[in-house]
Amino acid sequence: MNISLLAQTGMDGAAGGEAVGALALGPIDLAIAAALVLVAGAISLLLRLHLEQRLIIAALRTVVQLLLIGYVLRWVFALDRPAPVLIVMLLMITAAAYAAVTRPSRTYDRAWVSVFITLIICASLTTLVVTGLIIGVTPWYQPQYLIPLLGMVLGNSLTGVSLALDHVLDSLVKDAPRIEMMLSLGASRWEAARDSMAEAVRRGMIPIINAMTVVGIVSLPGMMTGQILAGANPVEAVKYQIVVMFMIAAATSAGCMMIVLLAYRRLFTSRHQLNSGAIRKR
Amino acid sequence: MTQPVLEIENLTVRAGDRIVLRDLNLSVEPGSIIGLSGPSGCGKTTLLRTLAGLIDAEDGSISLRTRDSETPWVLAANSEPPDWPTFRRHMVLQQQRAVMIDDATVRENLRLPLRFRSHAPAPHDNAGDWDHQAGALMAQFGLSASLLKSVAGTLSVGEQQRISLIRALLIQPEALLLDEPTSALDADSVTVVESVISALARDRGLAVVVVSHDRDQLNRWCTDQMDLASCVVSHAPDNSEPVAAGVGGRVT
Repeated sequence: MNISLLAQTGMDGAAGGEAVGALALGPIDLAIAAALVLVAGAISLLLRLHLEQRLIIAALRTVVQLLLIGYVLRWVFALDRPAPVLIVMLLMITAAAYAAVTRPSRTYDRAWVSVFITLIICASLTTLVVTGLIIGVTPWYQPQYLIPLLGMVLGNSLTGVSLALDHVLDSLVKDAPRIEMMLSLGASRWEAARDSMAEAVRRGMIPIINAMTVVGIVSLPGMMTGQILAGANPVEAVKYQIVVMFMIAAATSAGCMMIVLLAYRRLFTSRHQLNSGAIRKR
Repeated sequence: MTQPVLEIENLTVRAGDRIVLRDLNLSVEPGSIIGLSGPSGCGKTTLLRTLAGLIDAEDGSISLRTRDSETPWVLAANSEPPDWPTFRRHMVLQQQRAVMIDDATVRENLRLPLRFRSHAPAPHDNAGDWDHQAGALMAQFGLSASLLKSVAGTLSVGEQQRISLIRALLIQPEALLLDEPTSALDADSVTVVESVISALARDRGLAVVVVSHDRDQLNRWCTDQMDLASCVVSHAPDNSEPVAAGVGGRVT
Protein backbone atom coordinates (compact mmCIF):
# COMPACT_ATOMS: atom_id res chain seq x y z
CA MET A 1 0.00 0.00 0.00
CA ASN A 2 2.65 2.46 1.04
CA ILE A 3 4.87 1.59 -1.83
CA SER A 4 2.15 2.13 -4.36
CA LEU A 5 1.27 5.45 -2.77
CA LEU A 6 4.85 6.58 -3.07
CA ALA A 7 5.10 5.51 -6.66
CA GLN A 8 1.96 7.38 -7.52
CA THR A 9 3.25 10.49 -5.78
CA GLY A 10 6.46 10.53 -7.71
CA MET A 11 4.57 10.40 -10.98
CA ASP A 12 1.93 12.98 -10.19
CA GLY A 13 4.44 15.20 -8.49
CA ALA A 14 6.54 15.41 -11.59
CA ALA A 15 3.48 16.17 -13.69
CA GLY A 16 2.18 18.80 -11.26
CA GLY A 17 5.40 20.79 -11.23
CA GLU A 18 4.55 22.89 -14.28
CA ALA A 19 1.22 24.32 -13.20
CA VAL A 20 2.86 27.16 -11.21
CA GLY A 21 2.29 30.67 -12.53
CA ALA A 22 5.32 32.27 -10.91
CA LEU A 23 8.80 32.06 -12.41
CA ALA A 24 10.45 28.85 -11.20
CA LEU A 25 13.51 29.19 -8.96
CA GLY A 26 16.63 27.16 -9.62
CA PRO A 27 19.37 26.06 -7.20
CA ILE A 28 21.49 29.10 -8.08
CA ASP A 29 18.66 31.46 -7.15
CA LEU A 30 18.39 29.76 -3.76
CA ALA A 31 22.14 30.00 -3.27
CA ILE A 32 22.03 33.75 -3.88
CA ALA A 33 19.19 33.99 -1.34
CA ALA A 34 21.35 32.07 1.13
CA ALA A 35 23.99 34.76 0.73
CA LEU A 36 21.45 37.22 2.09
CA VAL A 37 21.52 35.36 5.39
CA LEU A 38 25.24 36.10 5.50
CA VAL A 39 24.34 39.77 5.94
CA ALA A 40 22.63 38.85 9.18
CA GLY A 41 25.66 36.75 10.14
CA ALA A 42 28.03 39.63 9.42
CA ILE A 43 26.01 41.96 11.64
CA SER A 44 26.10 39.39 14.41
CA LEU A 45 29.89 39.10 14.15
CA LEU A 46 30.38 42.85 13.88
CA LEU A 47 28.34 43.64 16.97
CA ARG A 48 29.45 40.47 18.80
CA LEU A 49 25.88 39.36 19.26
CA HIS A 50 26.95 35.68 19.39
CA LEU A 51 23.96 34.82 17.26
CA GLU A 52 25.93 33.14 14.46
CA GLN A 53 25.36 29.59 15.59
CA ARG A 54 21.66 30.13 16.21
CA LEU A 55 21.40 31.91 12.88
CA ILE A 56 22.98 29.00 11.04
CA ILE A 57 20.68 26.52 12.75
CA ALA A 58 17.64 28.69 12.08
CA ALA A 59 18.57 29.09 8.42
CA LEU A 60 19.11 25.36 8.03
CA ARG A 61 15.79 24.66 9.73
CA THR A 62 14.08 27.06 7.34
CA VAL A 63 15.48 25.20 4.36
CA VAL A 64 14.92 21.67 5.67
CA GLN A 65 11.44 22.26 7.14
CA LEU A 66 10.14 24.08 4.09
CA LEU A 67 11.58 21.57 1.61
CA LEU A 68 10.13 18.76 3.67
CA ILE A 69 6.67 20.31 3.81
CA GLY A 70 6.93 21.07 0.09
CA TYR A 71 7.47 17.42 -0.71
CA VAL A 72 4.87 16.22 1.79
CA LEU A 73 2.29 18.60 0.34
CA ARG A 74 3.09 17.55 -3.21
CA TRP A 75 2.58 13.94 -2.13
CA VAL A 76 -0.69 14.67 -0.30
CA PHE A 77 -2.03 16.82 -3.14
CA ALA A 78 -1.38 14.02 -5.55
CA LEU A 79 -3.22 11.42 -3.46
CA ASP A 80 -6.55 13.22 -3.79
CA ARG A 81 -8.17 11.36 -0.89
CA PRO A 82 -9.56 12.68 2.43
CA ALA A 83 -7.61 10.47 4.88
CA PRO A 84 -4.09 11.78 4.14
CA VAL A 85 -5.40 15.36 4.11
CA LEU A 86 -6.97 14.86 7.53
CA ILE A 87 -3.77 13.28 8.84
CA VAL A 88 -1.71 16.23 7.67
CA MET A 89 -4.24 18.61 9.26
CA LEU A 90 -4.04 16.69 12.52
CA LEU A 91 -0.24 16.84 12.46
CA MET A 92 -0.37 20.58 11.81
CA ILE A 93 -2.76 21.10 14.72
CA THR A 94 -0.58 18.98 17.02
CA ALA A 95 2.50 20.98 16.09
CA ALA A 96 0.61 24.23 16.61
CA ALA A 97 -0.67 23.07 20.01
CA TYR A 98 2.86 22.17 21.03
CA ALA A 99 4.14 25.56 19.90
CA ALA A 100 1.32 27.42 21.63
CA VAL A 101 1.83 25.64 24.93
CA THR A 102 5.60 26.17 25.05
CA ARG A 103 5.39 29.94 24.61
CA PRO A 104 3.70 31.00 27.89
CA SER A 105 6.05 31.26 30.87
CA ARG A 106 3.74 29.10 32.99
CA THR A 107 1.85 25.92 32.39
CA TYR A 108 -0.30 23.31 34.12
CA ASP A 109 -0.64 19.56 33.83
CA ARG A 110 -1.81 18.52 30.40
CA ALA A 111 -2.17 22.12 29.28
CA TRP A 112 -1.34 20.94 25.79
CA VAL A 113 -4.54 18.88 25.76
CA SER A 114 -6.53 22.06 26.43
CA VAL A 115 -4.67 23.84 23.65
CA PHE A 116 -5.06 20.92 21.29
CA ILE A 117 -8.84 20.75 21.89
CA THR A 118 -9.06 24.51 21.44
CA LEU A 119 -7.18 24.51 18.14
CA ILE A 120 -8.83 21.42 16.73
CA ILE A 121 -12.27 22.88 17.35
CA CYS A 122 -11.69 26.55 16.59
CA ALA A 123 -9.16 26.32 13.76
CA SER A 124 -10.51 23.34 11.87
CA LEU A 125 -14.15 24.36 12.23
CA THR A 126 -13.46 27.86 10.93
CA THR A 127 -11.40 26.48 8.08
CA LEU A 128 -14.07 23.98 7.10
CA VAL A 129 -16.78 26.64 7.27
CA VAL A 130 -14.75 28.87 4.98
CA THR A 131 -13.83 26.17 2.47
CA GLY A 132 -17.28 24.60 2.53
CA LEU A 133 -19.64 27.58 2.73
CA ILE A 134 -17.72 30.55 1.36
CA ILE A 135 -15.26 29.19 -1.17
CA GLY A 136 -17.36 26.13 -1.94
CA VAL A 137 -14.50 23.73 -2.44
CA THR A 138 -15.42 20.42 -4.07
CA PRO A 139 -14.56 17.82 -3.03
CA TRP A 140 -14.57 19.20 0.50
CA TYR A 141 -11.14 17.82 1.35
CA GLN A 142 -9.32 19.41 -1.58
CA PRO A 143 -5.90 19.91 0.07
CA GLN A 144 -4.91 22.85 -2.14
CA TYR A 145 -7.44 24.93 -0.16
CA LEU A 146 -7.73 23.18 3.19
CA ILE A 147 -4.07 22.92 4.08
CA PRO A 148 -2.85 26.45 3.35
CA LEU A 149 -5.97 27.98 4.90
CA LEU A 150 -5.66 25.84 8.01
CA GLY A 151 -1.98 26.78 8.15
CA MET A 152 -2.80 30.47 8.15
CA VAL A 153 -5.55 30.09 10.74
CA LEU A 154 -3.30 27.98 12.98
CA GLY A 155 -0.32 30.30 12.66
CA ASN A 156 -2.37 33.25 13.80
CA SER A 157 -4.67 31.66 16.32
CA LEU A 158 -1.79 29.92 18.08
CA THR A 159 -0.31 33.36 18.74
CA GLY A 160 -3.60 34.53 20.20
CA VAL A 161 -4.16 31.36 22.17
CA SER A 162 -0.68 31.34 23.67
CA LEU A 163 -0.95 35.04 24.60
CA ALA A 164 -4.31 34.43 26.26
CA LEU A 165 -3.01 31.36 28.07
CA ASP A 166 0.11 33.22 29.15
CA HIS A 167 -1.93 36.06 30.58
CA VAL A 168 -4.55 33.98 32.31
CA LEU A 169 -1.95 31.80 34.05
CA ASP A 170 0.13 34.81 34.99
CA SER A 171 -2.92 36.57 36.35
CA LEU A 172 -4.18 33.57 38.33
CA VAL A 173 -0.80 33.42 40.07
CA LYS A 174 -0.19 37.12 40.57
CA ASP A 175 -3.77 38.06 41.37
CA ALA A 176 -4.41 35.01 43.54
CA PRO A 177 -4.80 37.20 46.66
CA ARG A 178 -7.43 39.33 44.92
CA ILE A 179 -9.26 36.29 43.60
CA GLU A 180 -9.23 34.62 47.00
CA MET A 181 -10.35 37.86 48.63
CA MET A 182 -13.41 37.84 46.36
CA LEU A 183 -14.04 34.16 47.01
CA SER A 184 -13.82 34.83 50.76
CA LEU A 185 -16.44 37.54 50.40
CA GLY A 186 -18.87 35.16 48.72
CA ALA A 187 -17.93 35.45 45.05
CA SER A 188 -18.46 32.40 42.89
CA ARG A 189 -15.40 31.10 41.07
CA TRP A 190 -16.78 32.68 37.90
CA GLU A 191 -17.25 36.08 39.55
CA ALA A 192 -13.79 35.94 41.07
CA ALA A 193 -12.06 34.87 37.85
CA ARG A 194 -13.99 36.98 35.35
CA ASP A 195 -11.65 40.00 35.31
CA SER A 196 -8.55 37.88 34.77
CA MET A 197 -10.26 35.85 32.08
CA ALA A 198 -11.67 38.80 30.18
CA GLU A 199 -8.30 40.54 30.18
CA ALA A 200 -6.63 37.36 28.90
CA VAL A 201 -9.08 37.07 25.99
CA ARG A 202 -8.58 40.75 25.23
CA ARG A 203 -4.78 40.37 25.13
CA GLY A 204 -5.06 37.37 22.85
CA MET A 205 -7.27 39.23 20.40
CA ILE A 206 -5.19 42.40 20.14
CA PRO A 207 -2.66 41.13 17.55
CA ILE A 208 -5.33 40.11 15.03
CA ILE A 209 -7.22 43.38 15.53
CA ASN A 210 -3.96 45.26 14.97
CA ALA A 211 -3.27 43.16 11.89
CA MET A 212 -6.74 43.87 10.50
CA THR A 213 -6.20 47.58 11.13
CA VAL A 214 -2.96 47.91 9.18
CA VAL A 215 -3.44 45.25 6.53
CA GLY A 216 -2.85 46.62 3.04
CA ILE A 217 -1.23 49.78 4.42
CA VAL A 218 1.70 48.58 6.45
CA SER A 219 1.63 44.92 5.56
CA LEU A 220 0.83 42.98 2.43
CA PRO A 221 -0.21 39.55 3.65
CA GLY A 222 1.76 36.57 2.42
CA MET A 223 -1.18 34.77 0.91
CA MET A 224 -2.28 37.72 -1.17
CA THR A 225 1.29 38.40 -2.25
CA GLY A 226 1.65 34.75 -3.17
CA GLN A 227 -1.47 34.76 -5.30
CA ILE A 228 -0.35 37.92 -7.06
CA LEU A 229 3.11 36.43 -7.68
CA ALA A 230 1.40 33.39 -9.14
CA GLY A 231 -0.35 35.63 -11.63
CA ALA A 232 -3.75 36.12 -10.02
CA ASN A 233 -5.80 39.27 -10.48
CA PRO A 234 -4.94 41.48 -7.45
CA VAL A 235 -8.62 42.19 -6.78
CA GLU A 236 -9.37 38.47 -6.67
CA ALA A 237 -6.40 38.00 -4.37
CA VAL A 238 -7.71 40.77 -2.12
CA LYS A 239 -11.11 39.10 -1.86
CA TYR A 240 -9.45 35.94 -0.66
CA GLN A 241 -7.38 37.92 1.79
CA ILE A 242 -10.49 39.55 3.25
CA VAL A 243 -12.04 36.14 3.80
CA VAL A 244 -8.81 34.93 5.38
CA MET A 245 -8.53 37.89 7.74
CA PHE A 246 -12.07 37.41 8.99
CA MET A 247 -11.53 33.71 9.29
CA ILE A 248 -8.41 34.29 11.38
CA ALA A 249 -10.25 36.84 13.53
CA ALA A 250 -13.07 34.39 14.20
CA ALA A 251 -10.75 31.47 14.96
CA THR A 252 -8.49 33.60 17.17
CA SER A 253 -11.25 35.09 19.29
CA ALA A 254 -13.03 31.77 19.67
CA GLY A 255 -9.68 30.12 20.45
CA CYS A 256 -8.75 32.71 23.08
CA MET A 257 -12.09 32.35 24.79
CA MET A 258 -11.97 28.60 24.68
CA ILE A 259 -8.44 28.19 26.04
CA VAL A 260 -9.23 30.59 28.87
CA LEU A 261 -12.41 28.66 29.71
CA LEU A 262 -10.60 25.33 29.60
CA ALA A 263 -7.84 26.67 31.85
CA TYR A 264 -10.52 28.03 34.19
CA ARG A 265 -12.18 24.62 34.37
CA ARG A 266 -8.87 23.02 35.24
CA LEU A 267 -7.70 25.60 37.77
CA PHE A 268 -10.86 26.29 39.75
CA THR A 269 -12.47 23.44 41.66
CA SER A 270 -16.19 22.75 41.91
CA ARG A 271 -15.82 23.95 45.50
CA HIS A 272 -15.03 27.42 44.17
CA GLN A 273 -11.37 27.24 45.10
CA LEU A 274 -8.47 28.55 43.08
CA ASN A 275 -5.96 25.74 42.62
CA SER A 276 -3.01 28.01 41.89
CA GLY A 277 -0.66 25.25 43.03
CA ALA A 278 -1.44 23.45 39.79
CA ILE A 279 0.20 26.26 37.82
CA ARG A 280 3.95 25.91 37.49
CA LYS A 281 6.80 27.69 35.81
CA ARG A 282 7.97 25.92 32.73
CA MET B 1 -26.81 26.44 76.78
CA THR B 2 -25.63 28.23 73.67
CA GLN B 3 -24.68 26.04 70.79
CA PRO B 4 -21.27 26.62 69.25
CA VAL B 5 -21.17 28.64 66.01
CA LEU B 6 -18.23 26.73 64.71
CA GLU B 7 -17.20 23.18 65.47
CA ILE B 8 -14.05 21.59 64.16
CA GLU B 9 -13.68 17.86 64.62
CA ASN B 10 -10.58 15.77 63.96
CA LEU B 11 -9.43 18.13 61.27
CA THR B 12 -6.38 17.01 59.30
CA VAL B 13 -4.95 19.19 56.57
CA ARG B 14 -2.15 18.33 54.22
CA ALA B 15 -0.03 20.75 52.21
CA GLY B 16 1.72 18.83 49.48
CA ASP B 17 3.07 15.73 51.23
CA ARG B 18 3.36 17.38 54.64
CA ILE B 19 0.61 17.11 57.23
CA VAL B 20 0.21 20.64 58.57
CA LEU B 21 -2.69 20.07 60.96
CA ARG B 22 -3.49 16.75 62.54
CA ASP B 23 -6.71 15.76 64.34
CA LEU B 24 -7.53 19.27 65.42
CA ASN B 25 -10.62 19.86 67.55
CA LEU B 26 -12.03 23.24 68.38
CA SER B 27 -15.42 24.59 69.24
CA VAL B 28 -16.23 28.29 69.09
CA GLU B 29 -19.24 29.77 70.85
CA PRO B 30 -21.02 32.92 69.70
CA GLY B 31 -19.25 36.00 70.96
CA SER B 32 -15.93 34.35 71.67
CA ILE B 33 -12.64 35.52 70.24
CA ILE B 34 -10.21 32.66 69.79
CA GLY B 35 -6.55 33.54 69.41
CA LEU B 36 -4.29 31.21 67.45
CA SER B 37 -0.59 31.38 68.08
CA GLY B 38 2.43 29.29 67.25
CA PRO B 39 5.64 29.61 65.25
CA SER B 40 5.60 30.35 61.52
CA GLY B 41 4.66 27.35 59.46
CA CYS B 42 2.72 25.61 62.22
CA GLY B 43 -0.49 25.90 60.22
CA LYS B 44 -2.26 29.00 61.55
CA THR B 45 -2.98 30.48 58.14
CA THR B 46 -3.67 27.02 56.73
CA LEU B 47 -6.33 26.50 59.41
CA LEU B 48 -8.05 29.78 58.53
CA ARG B 49 -7.92 29.00 54.81
CA THR B 50 -9.37 25.56 55.43
CA LEU B 51 -12.18 27.00 57.54
CA ALA B 52 -12.99 29.44 54.74
CA GLY B 53 -13.09 26.51 52.33
CA LEU B 54 -10.23 27.85 50.21
CA ILE B 55 -8.34 24.59 50.68
CA ASP B 56 -9.68 21.13 51.33
CA ALA B 57 -9.17 19.23 54.53
CA GLU B 58 -7.87 15.72 54.22
CA ASP B 59 -10.04 14.45 57.02
CA GLY B 60 -12.41 15.64 59.72
CA SER B 61 -15.31 18.02 59.63
CA ILE B 62 -16.13 21.68 60.07
CA SER B 63 -19.67 22.68 60.96
CA LEU B 64 -21.01 26.18 61.04
CA ARG B 65 -24.31 27.10 62.64
CA THR B 66 -26.10 30.17 61.30
CA ARG B 67 -28.91 32.26 62.75
CA ASP B 68 -31.11 31.83 59.70
CA SER B 69 -31.12 28.05 59.60
CA GLU B 70 -31.71 25.15 61.96
CA THR B 71 -29.34 22.83 60.17
CA PRO B 72 -25.65 23.69 60.29
CA TRP B 73 -23.39 23.80 57.26
CA VAL B 74 -21.08 20.84 57.34
CA LEU B 75 -17.81 20.58 55.50
CA ALA B 76 -16.49 17.08 55.68
CA ALA B 77 -14.10 15.17 53.50
CA ASN B 78 -16.89 13.81 51.35
CA SER B 79 -19.86 16.06 51.92
CA GLU B 80 -20.36 19.11 49.82
CA PRO B 81 -22.41 22.07 50.97
CA PRO B 82 -24.85 23.05 48.27
CA ASP B 83 -23.50 26.52 47.82
CA TRP B 84 -19.92 27.49 48.62
CA PRO B 85 -20.19 31.23 48.01
CA THR B 86 -23.06 31.49 50.47
CA PHE B 87 -21.18 29.38 52.99
CA ARG B 88 -18.20 31.71 52.75
CA ARG B 89 -20.38 34.73 53.45
CA HIS B 90 -21.25 33.20 56.79
CA MET B 91 -17.59 32.70 57.65
CA VAL B 92 -15.51 35.45 56.11
CA LEU B 93 -11.75 35.21 55.90
CA GLN B 94 -9.74 38.39 56.19
CA GLN B 95 -6.32 37.74 54.68
CA GLN B 96 -3.14 38.98 56.27
CA ARG B 97 -2.35 41.40 53.48
CA ALA B 98 -5.40 43.55 52.78
CA VAL B 99 -6.41 43.23 49.16
CA MET B 100 -8.23 46.06 47.44
CA ILE B 101 -9.38 46.54 43.89
CA ASP B 102 -6.64 49.13 43.54
CA ASP B 103 -8.11 51.25 40.77
CA ALA B 104 -11.60 51.42 42.28
CA THR B 105 -12.70 53.88 44.94
CA VAL B 106 -13.03 52.94 48.58
CA ARG B 107 -16.83 53.07 48.25
CA GLU B 108 -16.74 50.69 45.29
CA ASN B 109 -14.46 48.41 47.26
CA LEU B 110 -16.82 48.42 50.20
CA ARG B 111 -19.72 47.63 47.89
CA LEU B 112 -17.87 44.74 46.27
CA PRO B 113 -19.80 41.99 48.13
CA LEU B 114 -23.06 43.43 46.77
CA ARG B 115 -21.95 42.51 43.25
CA PHE B 116 -21.85 38.79 43.95
CA ARG B 117 -24.82 36.59 43.23
CA SER B 118 -24.53 34.96 46.61
CA HIS B 119 -25.63 38.30 48.03
CA ALA B 120 -29.29 37.82 48.92
CA PRO B 121 -30.86 41.28 49.24
CA ALA B 122 -32.19 41.63 52.76
CA PRO B 123 -33.81 44.68 54.38
CA HIS B 124 -30.57 45.61 56.09
CA ASP B 125 -28.31 45.52 53.09
CA ASN B 126 -29.57 47.38 50.07
CA ALA B 127 -26.94 49.73 48.67
CA GLY B 128 -28.10 52.78 50.63
CA ASP B 129 -28.23 50.96 53.91
CA TRP B 130 -24.95 49.28 53.06
CA ASP B 131 -23.28 52.67 52.64
CA HIS B 132 -24.86 53.85 55.86
CA GLN B 133 -23.48 50.88 57.77
CA ALA B 134 -20.12 51.34 56.09
CA GLY B 135 -20.07 54.98 57.18
CA ALA B 136 -20.87 54.01 60.76
CA LEU B 137 -18.12 51.40 60.84
CA MET B 138 -15.61 53.79 59.27
CA ALA B 139 -16.35 56.30 62.01
CA GLN B 140 -15.89 53.61 64.66
CA PHE B 141 -12.56 52.60 63.14
CA GLY B 142 -11.41 56.21 63.11
CA LEU B 143 -11.48 56.61 59.33
CA SER B 144 -12.74 59.81 57.75
CA ALA B 145 -15.77 59.55 55.47
CA SER B 146 -13.86 61.61 52.89
CA LEU B 147 -11.86 58.46 52.17
CA LEU B 148 -14.90 56.95 50.40
CA LYS B 149 -14.12 58.84 47.21
CA SER B 150 -10.39 58.07 47.25
CA VAL B 151 -8.91 55.52 44.92
CA ALA B 152 -8.16 52.47 47.06
CA GLY B 153 -4.64 52.04 45.70
CA THR B 154 -3.62 55.42 47.11
CA LEU B 155 -4.51 54.50 50.69
CA SER B 156 -1.88 53.59 53.25
CA VAL B 157 -1.53 49.90 54.10
CA GLY B 158 -3.05 50.57 57.51
CA GLU B 159 -6.08 52.27 55.99
CA GLN B 160 -6.50 49.44 53.51
CA GLN B 161 -6.35 46.93 56.32
CA ARG B 162 -9.18 48.66 58.16
CA ILE B 163 -11.27 49.20 55.01
CA SER B 164 -11.04 45.53 54.11
CA LEU B 165 -12.00 44.62 57.68
CA ILE B 166 -15.06 46.87 57.36
CA ARG B 167 -15.90 45.23 54.04
CA ALA B 168 -15.83 41.83 55.74
CA LEU B 169 -17.99 43.05 58.64
CA LEU B 170 -20.59 44.54 56.29
CA ILE B 171 -21.49 41.04 55.12
CA GLN B 172 -22.53 40.33 58.73
CA PRO B 173 -20.93 36.91 58.96
CA GLU B 174 -21.50 34.51 61.83
CA ALA B 175 -17.78 33.97 62.12
CA LEU B 176 -14.87 36.15 61.19
CA LEU B 177 -11.45 34.67 60.46
CA LEU B 178 -8.68 37.23 60.92
CA ASP B 179 -5.09 36.64 59.81
CA GLU B 180 -2.83 39.18 61.51
CA PRO B 181 -5.56 41.85 61.26
CA THR B 182 -3.56 44.64 62.87
CA SER B 183 -0.09 43.98 61.42
CA ALA B 184 -0.01 47.28 59.55
CA LEU B 185 -1.59 49.47 62.21
CA ASP B 186 -0.17 51.92 64.71
CA ALA B 187 -0.75 51.31 68.41
CA ASP B 188 -3.80 53.58 68.67
CA SER B 189 -5.53 51.99 65.70
CA VAL B 190 -4.79 48.53 67.08
CA THR B 191 -6.67 49.42 70.26
CA VAL B 192 -9.60 50.79 68.24
CA VAL B 193 -9.83 47.69 66.02
CA GLU B 194 -9.67 45.37 69.02
CA SER B 195 -12.40 47.22 70.89
CA VAL B 196 -14.73 47.45 67.86
CA ILE B 197 -14.39 43.72 67.18
CA SER B 198 -14.83 42.88 70.85
CA ALA B 199 -18.00 44.99 70.95
CA LEU B 200 -19.38 43.21 67.87
CA ALA B 201 -18.62 39.87 69.44
CA ARG B 202 -20.34 40.89 72.66
CA ASP B 203 -23.37 42.60 71.08
CA ARG B 204 -24.02 40.56 67.96
CA GLY B 205 -22.55 37.23 68.99
CA LEU B 206 -19.93 37.40 66.25
CA ALA B 207 -17.46 34.55 66.63
CA VAL B 208 -13.86 35.47 65.84
CA VAL B 209 -10.81 33.35 65.18
CA VAL B 210 -7.71 35.49 65.07
CA VAL B 211 -4.14 34.64 64.17
CA SER B 212 -1.43 36.86 65.59
CA HIS B 213 2.28 36.73 66.34
CA ASP B 214 1.73 39.23 69.10
CA ARG B 215 1.26 37.31 72.36
CA ASP B 216 0.37 40.48 74.25
CA GLN B 217 -2.39 41.23 71.77
CA LEU B 218 -3.84 37.74 72.09
CA ASN B 219 -3.63 37.92 75.89
CA ARG B 220 -5.54 41.18 76.16
CA TRP B 221 -8.01 40.63 73.30
CA CYS B 222 -9.01 36.99 73.15
CA THR B 223 -11.43 35.08 75.29
CA ASP B 224 -9.57 31.83 74.57
CA GLN B 225 -6.29 30.90 72.99
CA MET B 226 -4.87 27.94 71.22
CA ASP B 227 -1.23 27.28 70.61
CA LEU B 228 -1.09 25.31 67.39
CA ALA B 229 2.47 24.16 68.01
CA SER B 230 1.84 22.61 71.39
CA CYS B 231 -1.83 22.19 70.58
CA VAL B 232 -3.02 23.31 73.98
CA VAL B 233 -6.12 25.39 74.51
CA SER B 234 -6.23 27.83 77.37
CA HIS B 235 -8.78 30.28 78.65
CA ALA B 236 -7.88 33.86 79.26
CA PRO B 237 -7.23 33.93 83.01
CA ASP B 238 -8.42 37.46 83.54
CA ASN B 239 -11.35 37.33 81.18
CA SER B 240 -14.67 36.89 82.87
CA GLU B 241 -16.74 36.80 79.69
CA PRO B 242 -19.21 33.93 79.85
CA VAL B 243 -18.11 32.78 76.38
CA ALA B 244 -14.80 31.65 77.84
CA ALA B 245 -16.32 28.24 78.35
CA GLY B 246 -16.69 27.86 74.63
CA VAL B 247 -13.46 26.15 73.82
CA GLY B 248 -13.32 22.47 74.41
CA GLY B 249 -10.62 21.81 71.92
CA ARG B 250 -7.61 19.68 72.38
CA VAL B 251 -5.27 18.32 69.81
CA THR B 252 -3.95 14.84 70.03
